[in-house]
Amino acid sequence: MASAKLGKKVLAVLLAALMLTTSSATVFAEIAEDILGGSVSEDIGAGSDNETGEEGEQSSNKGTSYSDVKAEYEANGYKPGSSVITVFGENSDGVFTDGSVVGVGESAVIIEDFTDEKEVTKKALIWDYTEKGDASTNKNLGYTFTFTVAESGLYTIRMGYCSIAAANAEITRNILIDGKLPFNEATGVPLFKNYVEQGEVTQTNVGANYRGDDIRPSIVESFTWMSQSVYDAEYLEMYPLQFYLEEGEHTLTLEFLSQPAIFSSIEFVPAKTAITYKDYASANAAAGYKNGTGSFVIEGEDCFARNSSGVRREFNTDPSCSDYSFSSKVLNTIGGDNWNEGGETATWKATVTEAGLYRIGMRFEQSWNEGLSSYRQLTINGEIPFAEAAAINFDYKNGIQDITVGANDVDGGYLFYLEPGDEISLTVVMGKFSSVITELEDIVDTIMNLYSDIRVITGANPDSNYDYGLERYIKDLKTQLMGIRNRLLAVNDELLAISPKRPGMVSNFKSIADDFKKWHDDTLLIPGAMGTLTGNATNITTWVTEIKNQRLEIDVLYIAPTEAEFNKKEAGFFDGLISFFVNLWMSFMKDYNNVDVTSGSVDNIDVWVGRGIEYCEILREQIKRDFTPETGIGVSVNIIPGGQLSANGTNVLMLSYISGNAPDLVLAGGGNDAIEFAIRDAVYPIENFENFDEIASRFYPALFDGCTYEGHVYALPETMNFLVMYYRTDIFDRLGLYVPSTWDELFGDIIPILYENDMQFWYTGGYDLILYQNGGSFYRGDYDQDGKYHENMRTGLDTQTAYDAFVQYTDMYNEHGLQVMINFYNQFRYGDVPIGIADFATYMQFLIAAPEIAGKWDIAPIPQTKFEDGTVSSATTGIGGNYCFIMNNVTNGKYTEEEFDKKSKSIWSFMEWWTRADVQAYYASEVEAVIGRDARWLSANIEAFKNSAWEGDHLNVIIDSQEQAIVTPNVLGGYYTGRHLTNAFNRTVVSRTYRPRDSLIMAVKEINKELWTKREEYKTGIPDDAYTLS
Amino acid sequence: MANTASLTLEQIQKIGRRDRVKRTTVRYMFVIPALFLFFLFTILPLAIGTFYSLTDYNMIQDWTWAGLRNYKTLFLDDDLFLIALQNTLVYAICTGPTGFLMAFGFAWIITNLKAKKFFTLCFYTPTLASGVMMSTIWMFFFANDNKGLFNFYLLKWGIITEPVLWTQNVATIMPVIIFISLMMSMGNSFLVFLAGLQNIPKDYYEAAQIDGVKNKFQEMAYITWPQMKPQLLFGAVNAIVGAFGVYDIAVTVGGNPSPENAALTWIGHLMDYAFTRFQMGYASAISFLLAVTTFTLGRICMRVFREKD
Repeated sequence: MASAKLGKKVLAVLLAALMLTTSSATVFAEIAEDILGGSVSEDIGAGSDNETGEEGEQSSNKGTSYSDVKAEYEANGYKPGSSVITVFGENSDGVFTDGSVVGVGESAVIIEDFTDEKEVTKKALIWDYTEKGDASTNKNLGYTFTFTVAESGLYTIRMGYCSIAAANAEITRNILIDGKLPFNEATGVPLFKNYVEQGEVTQTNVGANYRGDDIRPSIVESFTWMSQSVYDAEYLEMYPLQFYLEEGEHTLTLEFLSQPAIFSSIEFVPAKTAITYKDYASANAAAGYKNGTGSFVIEGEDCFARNSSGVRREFNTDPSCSDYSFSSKVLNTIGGDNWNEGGETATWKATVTEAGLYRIGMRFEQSWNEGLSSYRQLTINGEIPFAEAAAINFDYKNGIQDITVGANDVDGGYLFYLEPGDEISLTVVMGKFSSVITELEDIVDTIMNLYSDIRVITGANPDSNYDYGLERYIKDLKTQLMGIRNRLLAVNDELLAISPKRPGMVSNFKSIADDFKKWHDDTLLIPGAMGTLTGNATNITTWVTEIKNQRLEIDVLYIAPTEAEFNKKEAGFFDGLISFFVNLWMSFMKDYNNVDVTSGSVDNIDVWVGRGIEYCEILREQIKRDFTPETGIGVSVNIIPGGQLSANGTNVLMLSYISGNAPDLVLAGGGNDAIEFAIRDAVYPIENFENFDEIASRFYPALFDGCTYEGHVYALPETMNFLVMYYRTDIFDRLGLYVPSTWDELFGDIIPILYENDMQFWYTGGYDLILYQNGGSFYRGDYDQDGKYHENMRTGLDTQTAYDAFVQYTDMYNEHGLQVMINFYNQFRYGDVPIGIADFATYMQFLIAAPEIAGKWDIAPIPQTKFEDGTVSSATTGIGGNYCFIMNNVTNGKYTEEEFDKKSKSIWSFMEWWTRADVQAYYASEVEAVIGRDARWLSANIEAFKNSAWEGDHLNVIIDSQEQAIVTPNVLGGYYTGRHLTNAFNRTVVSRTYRPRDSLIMAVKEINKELWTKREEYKTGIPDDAYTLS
Repeated sequence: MANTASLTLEQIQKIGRRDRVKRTTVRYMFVIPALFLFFLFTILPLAIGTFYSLTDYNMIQDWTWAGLRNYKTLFLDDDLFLIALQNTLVYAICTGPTGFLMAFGFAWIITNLKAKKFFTLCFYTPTLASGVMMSTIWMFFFANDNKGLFNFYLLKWGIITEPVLWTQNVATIMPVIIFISLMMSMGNSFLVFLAGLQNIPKDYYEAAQIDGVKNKFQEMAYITWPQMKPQLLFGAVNAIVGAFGVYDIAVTVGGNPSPENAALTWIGHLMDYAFTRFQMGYASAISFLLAVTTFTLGRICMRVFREKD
C-alpha cells in the first residue's frame, strides 16, 4: 500500500510538471484530474506494486488469499486443534447449544424441530429466505454465533444441514470469523444438496423387433439431512478450508448468498493432515490387514448417492463398455459432460464380501479438454485415506481407457482397506490445475487493470497512429508487459509439465505471451491493439473456464486384490466394426423424431414440439409417469424443428394441416403464429373450455394480449421472458454513479459522465417501451361500417402520445447519441458499456459465459418515464415467450365435429396439466439438470417461474419488470407495424432524411392501409374512413 | 443390298417412311421421361399458378374467384411492387451483363493460362456454396460495427470516423448486394464458356494467323466470339434469369423486410405476399408476370446471339 501511495504522488508531481511546461495545459489538467480522481490512483498503484516483485501480484483492492494464509499458518507453525468445538447443535454428548445466535439485520432467529424426508427430526435453525419480501438487503443478512475455543489451533468447519428448496443450485454462504473475512475463499462456500434417481431405467417403444433406447430416470432432490465440510467454492483446495482460532471467545457469522436451508449443526473440527500412502500402507500392515479375496465389478451407473444432478447416467457407444448393445442406446456409464464442477461427488457401495486390502480400477472415458487431465478425489466413507488419493488424475485419451488407481506410483497400484458396505466416492477437484487456475485468473486481473490504466490515457477508441506517450504516464508499463509475458510462459511450461500429452491450449498461451513481448518492444503498437489486449484477457478467461470443466465418464469400477484379477470385459476390433454397421442400419429403422407413443386407455393425442430432443424426452417422461396414469390419455410426442411451426413460409405445420395430418396440439409456437392460423380457422379458440379462467390466472394477464383476436383466446403461454437493466457495480462505484430510476436521471446524470469516460449506454427496449411508458398503444378500436365496435381496428400511432413517444425514442439516438449497434455482451465485460437494457438471453450470458465479471454486475428495473405533473409510468415490455395452441382439425376434415369435440377435451386436459405450477417447476429443474445451467426454463406459470435458482434479489427485480409488462396484440396485418416503424426509425435516425413527425405519419398511412386490406380480405369489417386498394 | 436396284421407287419410299416412323418413335420414347418431368414440374405449376393468379387463396381456406383484380392491383395500385421492380432492374442491369462479361473474360484469361485446372477450380468453387452461405461470409466484411473488416480498416486508416452501416443504410444496401453477387457470378456459364473456348479448333487460329491476325484481341473478335455464340446464348439467358431471381442474397444482406425496402426484390415481394400475408392469388400474379418477363428477355437474347449461318 505504501508503494501505491508513493506511485500516486510521483505521478501527481509528474503531471503537475507537465502541466506547467506545456501550452495545452487544459488538456493535461483534464487528464490529471481523471487520473488522480479516478481509477488510476488505485490501478496504477497496483501496477507499482507489481514492480516491486513477485508478491505484488495481489492488487490492493483484493483481500488476502487462502494460499497466503496457509503459508502464514506454516510459518507460524500452527498445529491442528485437539477437540471438536460445537458452535451450534448437539455435541457428542447430546447437549444442544444454540451458540447464542443473533440475527444480522432483520433475520429472525427461529430454532425449532425440523423433520426431513426420511422422518429424522433434529432441532435446527430455520434459515428460510424464499418468502423474504425486500430482498435487496438479503445479501448482508445472516446469523452470528458465539463460541469459545479451548485450545488455539487449526480447525475446519463441518455443517449439518437440510435443503428445503428444490432449485438446482448449491446452498452458498459467506463465512466471517469475528466479523471479518479470514480470506477471500471463505466467500460463497458451497453446501451441496442430495439428489436421488426417481424410478427405473425404461425403454422407448421403437418397434416390435427392437429393444428401444434407454430412458434416463429423472433425478430429483431429496430433502434429507446432510453433513459436509466447508471447501472453497471451486474446490481449488483439495482439503477443507482451515481456520486458525486463538484460545478464547470468538464469533462466527454466516452470510446469506443463495438458497434457503435448515442448519442442524455447525462445528469446528480439528484440521487433519493426510498421511502419505507409505504411512497408510505400513499402518495397514501393522493392523494386520490381509489382501481380500474375490473380484468385484461395480457398474458406474449404479452409484447410489450423488450431490449434484449432473452426476447422471449416460450413453456410451463404445463396444468395450459394459452393458453395450449394438442396436440401441444403453445407459451404461455415469457422469460425462455434466459431472464437471468442483465438489460434485458420486458415491458407490463397495460390494466386497470380506474386509481386506483391495486395489481399485476403473474403466472410463476422458476425451474432453484435449490433452488435459481430469482430477477426482477418492474418499472412503467420506475420508481421504491418504494424501495421494486427494487428487487422482484421469488422463486424456480419445475413447475408453482403464486405470488402476496408483499404478503409476506404486507397483500394482494402491491397496485400499475396504470393508463390506464401505462407501467409495469420487469428487471433482482441480488437482494440479489449482495453481494454474489461480495464476491465470490473477494474470487476467493484471491485464484488465493495465487496460483500464491505458484506457484512461487513450480513451476507448484510440487513434492507432498517435503517440500517447504511454510510458510517460504508466512508469512501469514495460515491466508490467514483460511480467505478464513471463508469467504466461511459466503457466505454459507448467501445463506442459503436468499433462502427459501436449494439451491443445498451450500454444495459445504462447501466442498471447508473444503479443505482450511485441507490445513491450514497441509500446506505440498498444493504442492500435486495445481490442487484442482485452481479447487476450477474454481468451485466457475462456481457457480457465475450460480447465475448470473437469469432465469424466465412468463405466465400471473394479475391485480386486490384484490388478490381474480385475474382471474386465474385452472388445475387439470387429465389435467396433459390427457396431458401426448395425448403427448405420438402425439409422434407417428408427424414427428419431417420434420420441414416444404412450397409448392411453381413454384417448390418444398427437403433440408436436418445436424443441430439442432432450426437452421432448423430459416431457415424455413426465407424461408417462404423471399425465397418462392420471387421465388415461396417451400422448405421442414429436420433435419438429422450431422454424417449422411458424406461420411464416411453407412449413411442416401448414402442409400437414392442408393435407389433414396436422397434430392436435402445438407446443413452442409463437403467439403470432397462433393468430395467423386462427384467422384462417386453423387454430381452435380455448376460452370456452372448462376452468379457463382459473387456468388463465396462472399467467400474467398481459401474456394473453399476444394470443387474443376479436375476443377469442387462441393459445396458452408456455414460456416468458423479461427485460431489465444491467450495470457494472464496480465501474459505477469507481465513477461514483448511482443506478438511475428514470430516463431523466439516466440522460441527465449518468450518460454525461459515461461519455466523459468514453463509455456508452445500450438500449434494446425499442419504440414499444417508450410508447407504453407514455401511455400509448399500437392499435386502437373503432366502429366498422355497420356500426360494430372492433378492438385493434386501426393503428394507434396517429395520436399525440405516439408522436411524443417517437420523438423521445429517436432523440435517444439523435440528441443523446446512443449507438444503434453495440455488441453488448462483449462491451459490458470490457467495461466499455457498463450499463444497458437487455433480456433474459443476455442475463444467462453474463451469468455463465462471463466469469471474469462475476459479482461485478447487478440488475435493476428499467428506467421509468416521469411526467411533468410528477406522475411516473413504469410500464415495461419484452415478456412474450412461446405459446401452445390447438389445431382445428375439423376445418381440414381430419375429424368430424363429434370426434373433435371429444378430442379437444383430452387436449385441453393436457394443456391444463402441462401449465400447472408443479409440473412446470419439475420440468424446469429437469431441463436445467439434463441440458445444463444455461438452459434455464422460464416457465410462463408465475409460481413455477419463481422456483428457479435466481441469484440474490434478481428475482424481485425481474418479477417487478414482468408484472408491469405490456404485450403488443397480434392483429391481422400486424407485421406491417414493425416493418414501417423500422423504416420510420431508419428515416429519422440512420439516414436522417425525415423529421420524426413526417416519418411517423408515413408509417401510419401504410400500416392502416395494410390493416384494412387484410380486414377486408377476411371480411372482418373496416372503418368508415378506410380507403382500400381496389 | 444387292437387290436394292430391283425395288420400285414407291417401295423404297415406303421402306423409308416405315423406317422414319420407327426411328421417330424411338426418339420420342427417349424424350418422354424428360417431357413428362418438364410437364410435371414446369408446365403444370405454371398453369396452376396462372389459375390461382385469378383467385383469392390463402392456402388453408378454399379459393374464391377474383378475376383480373390481382393484376389490376399489381399494375395500378402496388407502390411496393414498383420499388421491387426498380431494385430488381438496377440489380439485373448491374449484375447481368457485368457478371456475364466477367465470366466470359475470366474464362478467356484462364484458357490462356498454364494452370487451367487450378484456376478453374478456384473460380468455380465459391459458386457451389449457397447464396446464403456466401453472403454470410461476406457479411463479415460488411459488418455494421467497427469490427467489420471494411469498417475496421477504413477506421484504422482514418478514412471514416464512425462505422458505415453497410447493411442498414439505404444507400449502401443495394451496392453491397450487387458486389457480393458479382463476386460469385462465376457459375455454370463460366464452366460452359470454358468448355466452349477449349472446343474451338486450333486450326482456325493457325489459319487466321496466316491470314494476318496479329494479336489475341483480333483472335477474340474474329474467331472466339463468333465461335462461342451457343455458349454465349446460354450464358446470357442464365444471367438474366439469375438476375431476376435474386432473393437469397438480398434477404441475407438487407434482411426481410429491409430498411425502407432498399433490398426488396421481385422475388422478395412475391415471397412476402405468399408466405407472410398468405395471399397466394396475388403472389401467383406476381410470379406469372415474372415468368412472362424472363421469357421475353430470353427470346430477345436468343435473337441477339442467334447463329447466323
